[in-house]
Amino acid sequence: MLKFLGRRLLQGVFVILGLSILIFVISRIIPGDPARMALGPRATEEAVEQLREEMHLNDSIPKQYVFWLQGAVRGDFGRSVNTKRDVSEDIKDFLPATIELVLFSGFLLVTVSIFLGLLAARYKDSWVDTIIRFTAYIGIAIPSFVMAIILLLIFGLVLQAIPVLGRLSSGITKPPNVTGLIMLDSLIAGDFKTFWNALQHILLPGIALALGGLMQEARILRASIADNMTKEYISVVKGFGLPKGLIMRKYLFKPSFIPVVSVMGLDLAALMGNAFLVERIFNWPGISRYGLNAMLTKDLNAISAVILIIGVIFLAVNIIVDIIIAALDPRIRLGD
Amino acid sequence: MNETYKKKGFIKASTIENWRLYWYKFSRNKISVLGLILVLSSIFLALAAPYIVPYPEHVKAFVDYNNASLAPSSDYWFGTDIFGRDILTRTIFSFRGALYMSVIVLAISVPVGTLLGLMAGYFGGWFETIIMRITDIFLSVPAVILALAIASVLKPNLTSSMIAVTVMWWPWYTRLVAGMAKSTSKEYFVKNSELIGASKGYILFREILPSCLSPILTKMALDVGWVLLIGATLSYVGLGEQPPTPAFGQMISDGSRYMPDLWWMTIFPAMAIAYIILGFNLLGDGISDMFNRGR
Repeated sequence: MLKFLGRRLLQGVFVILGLSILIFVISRIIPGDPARMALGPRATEEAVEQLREEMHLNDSIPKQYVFWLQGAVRGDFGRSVNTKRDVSEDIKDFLPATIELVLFSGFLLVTVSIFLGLLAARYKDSWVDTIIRFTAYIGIAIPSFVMAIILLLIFGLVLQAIPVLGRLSSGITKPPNVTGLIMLDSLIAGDFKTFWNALQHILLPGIALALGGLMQEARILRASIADNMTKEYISVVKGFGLPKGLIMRKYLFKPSFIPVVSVMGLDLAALMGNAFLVERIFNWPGISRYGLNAMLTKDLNAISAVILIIGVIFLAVNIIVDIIIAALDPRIRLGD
Repeated sequence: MNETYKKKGFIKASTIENWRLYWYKFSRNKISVLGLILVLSSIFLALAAPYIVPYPEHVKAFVDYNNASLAPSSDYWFGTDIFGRDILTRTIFSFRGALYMSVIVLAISVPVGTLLGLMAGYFGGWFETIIMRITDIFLSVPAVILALAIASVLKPNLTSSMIAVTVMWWPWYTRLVAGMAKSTSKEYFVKNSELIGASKGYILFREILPSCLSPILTKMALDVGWVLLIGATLSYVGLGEQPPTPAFGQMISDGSRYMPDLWWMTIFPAMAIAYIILGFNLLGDGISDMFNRGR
């Protein structure tokens, strides 16, 4: 297991290095002078030349990459053209909001999809199953940003049932910063009013993000259970007269969860991608909204930093998923 | 001579028989047929758009303030936007750009990805290692994000968004095909060809490729929908087709500013996206069931 983990981590380091090269190449395709863009059209020629020197733009491309990478490893991504601050400070401000949203949405994804999947498998070929399958197709077909707009419209504007936009209503004070996740911080501070307000704010973007993947996973879990139900070893343990609950728990569920967990890993990571638009629509002050703004204004330092950080998170999620699968499936664990 | 002729004829007949069998299996499943109908109707709308839309001139920069912001009616089935342009016309025309993008992206990325995957899986060794590590890099970030980044540094238009998505799309096929090619290359029929002295090209394309075809086709059917979705995402943030040419994402983005009063500006293009994606998903599932011998 340790060897498996070590190899996986080493592989991860290579992937991130490769990703950094890819990002660097993308950020250099851009036509125009980054120094000139950073300073604006009214800056003097000398000032631009000085900044070019500071940004190592006069060096060869490989040398530029090395300088950029050295900075990135130290957490120094340079300055953002938009916010006029260090990109690393911006990220410190914006990342917790995205993590909170993705964790909440991931929690919904995992719990609800397992619940619906088990329900559909238990009442296979009944009306429950049909409804779940039908909504699964709807969930897949409606893009998350459209779902976000629809939810915002129905619950936020027409019904005015819950507050939308942002993380907290304007009258509510932010809890003392411990983890950066408002829901967790307010619980630590024992402030239930803030917690309730934060929960209401996160509900709609969380649902909009989770819905597509959620219904798909429920379907995969149902198919996987239905498939394993017909396997011979299940008939064998049934023949031994083991109680039904035990067969379910010990022999049926464990192998059935393997395909679900691997798809779930991909989907959890994909939440970061979908968050780009959902955060924009709900005005959620997260790193995805920050990254999207950076992209639309060609703020290169911020773009590179955001993509690199998402890459690292993506990779971490994948490694965790691999560990869970290895724990579920001895063939993978012992195979290496 | 006679012998080879017979053999050729036999092979051909059996393939036709196979396709008949496949079609029979496919057509038994009502949901798959529904998917096929949705897909064919989308393609029809895209191709026939200039001839069937009620107001072809509304696709370009067109202003008619007397009929602006009208709710759906018998004259304008889907209502009109704030410039008085017919939403139905613009929605149908958006099918063109969206499907065009998916077709071009897949037409480039699938052959490239498949070829690299076949070679990586069959040759193995350092070649496989390099190719697979490169695919790992591309797959280490959600495709949407890198596509957004690439499109954002290029000029905002449909071609740039196609380039951005194509760059992100081939690794999926490489990874899919490489695994299958690797296991297939250990089969006896491949070993036989090698012993007879068949060329590398013959082995790759005539021996290994056919056995990888069904997952590739299934994935392609599903991917048309996903590429289209990424295209809509790019155009939603203004990085795709530029106005006045209509595109789904751009129409949704414009319309959402006038929600909930002018709901028809957003809802109809959104439903059109859902229609296409649903169609290709059902079709993809149908194709995958069709190739599955067990069920």
